[in-house]
Amino acid sequence: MNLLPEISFLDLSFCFDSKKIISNFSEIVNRGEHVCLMGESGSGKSTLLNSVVGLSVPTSGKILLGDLEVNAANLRQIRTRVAWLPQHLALPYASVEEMLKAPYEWIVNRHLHFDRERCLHLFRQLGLESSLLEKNLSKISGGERQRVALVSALMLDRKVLLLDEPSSALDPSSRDKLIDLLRNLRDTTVLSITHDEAWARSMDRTIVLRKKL
Amino acid sequence: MKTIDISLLHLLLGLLLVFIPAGILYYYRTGIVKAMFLSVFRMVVQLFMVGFYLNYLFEWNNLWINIAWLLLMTAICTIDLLRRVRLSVKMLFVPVSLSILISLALIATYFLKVVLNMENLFDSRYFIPICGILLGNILSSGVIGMNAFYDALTKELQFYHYMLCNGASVKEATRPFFREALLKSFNPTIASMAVMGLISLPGTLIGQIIGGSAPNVAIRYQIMIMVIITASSIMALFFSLKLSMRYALSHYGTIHDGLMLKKDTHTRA
Repeated sequence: MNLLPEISFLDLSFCFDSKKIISNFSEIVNRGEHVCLMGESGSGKSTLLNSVVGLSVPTSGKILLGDLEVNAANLRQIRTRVAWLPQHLALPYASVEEMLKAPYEWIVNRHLHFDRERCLHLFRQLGLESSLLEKNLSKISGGERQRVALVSALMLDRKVLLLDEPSSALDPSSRDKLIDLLRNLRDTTVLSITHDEAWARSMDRTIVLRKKL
Repeated sequence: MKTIDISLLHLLLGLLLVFIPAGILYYYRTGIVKAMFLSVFRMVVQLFMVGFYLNYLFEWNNLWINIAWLLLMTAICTIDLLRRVRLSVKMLFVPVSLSILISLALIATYFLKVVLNMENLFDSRYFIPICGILLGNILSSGVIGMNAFYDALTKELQFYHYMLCNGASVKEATRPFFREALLKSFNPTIASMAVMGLISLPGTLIGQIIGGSAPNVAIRYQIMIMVIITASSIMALFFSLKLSMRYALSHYGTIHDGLMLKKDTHTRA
């Protein structure tokens, strides 16, 4: 594994409504490392994950993505290096294919093109049927939607994956397929949130966050 | 042709018609009878006040007074719009009022100067009613459009964040909500234009004909009124959304706390 820092949380503190959620948190996730965040609800897992893409802003301290500080000025660059997936993603696209193609309309991805073959290959790896591509997005199950969202993220070839409970809607077999797929992505840094012990075991490292009383 | 005047007694007789909808609404226990009477009362008082001050505005016909009237009306329109959609007046007053004023000034100037070929752009008899009708329509389409945009943005916040955090610019990530706002706001106008003259006779046309204009003149005015209403409303909504986003969203693209005011538990018109 490459020991270059990919995500650096440096002395971070978060306060919401004068309540401290995280105080003086420091941690480094190295390039290619697969790390998960665990902890009870309210311990600040999502706050921490979201801070990498600027959705939550620390009260003090700083976050680096590679050598780039996460701030308003660098945000556009930061957000083109990562793929971020929330736990429940309700997208108003008509079909699965339309959802998968949507990111290619954004300026940052115009140099890429939607590779249908690769998409179907990822579908197979995650146990999804190819006919799913034509299906209405509202007609597929939560587990299928979660895997489709992951395929969308993987196809953008981002070097950092930020995943909020990626296995929460998956059955054990689908989850294991996803674990196998990610295990082969050694150039990709993965920071995920989980409550799933099996998922945590498949990661290189687990960071446990404790709720502030 | 002279317009038949309505005496106060006859106006009161006419107002008796309000009891028909009130009776139906009461029978079905809708709970809005009181609100309806209050609205009618407000309308009567407000219109009498307008009639009162319009007399003076027309008599004075003063450039600065007319401009002051326009600024005051724009401010009232902006505050009413933002309150109706439960958005922070403090945060969005400047961008929305500027958007309304710019759209109004551009379209009214074009109509009065280019189409009507008027020498004095600020002639009260034209300037006041034209700006008034445009403001009224800017307000109604603005309420629908702004509400559709910010309501969808907050309801589908995760979709917005998903686009933003995976590389879309704020412009790209708000595009679906923009489209939604424009559709909801202008579909009714487009539909009403399509049937105008067939199943409905618009107020301006009727007003002008009763006021003594020839039907072909009234129709030309009506066509222009519809065009300038659509153009100014769409411009005002477009600028309002574009400019308000600069105030409503942080440098990180997230929605500022305090933008959306809490909704009432139940709202009755």
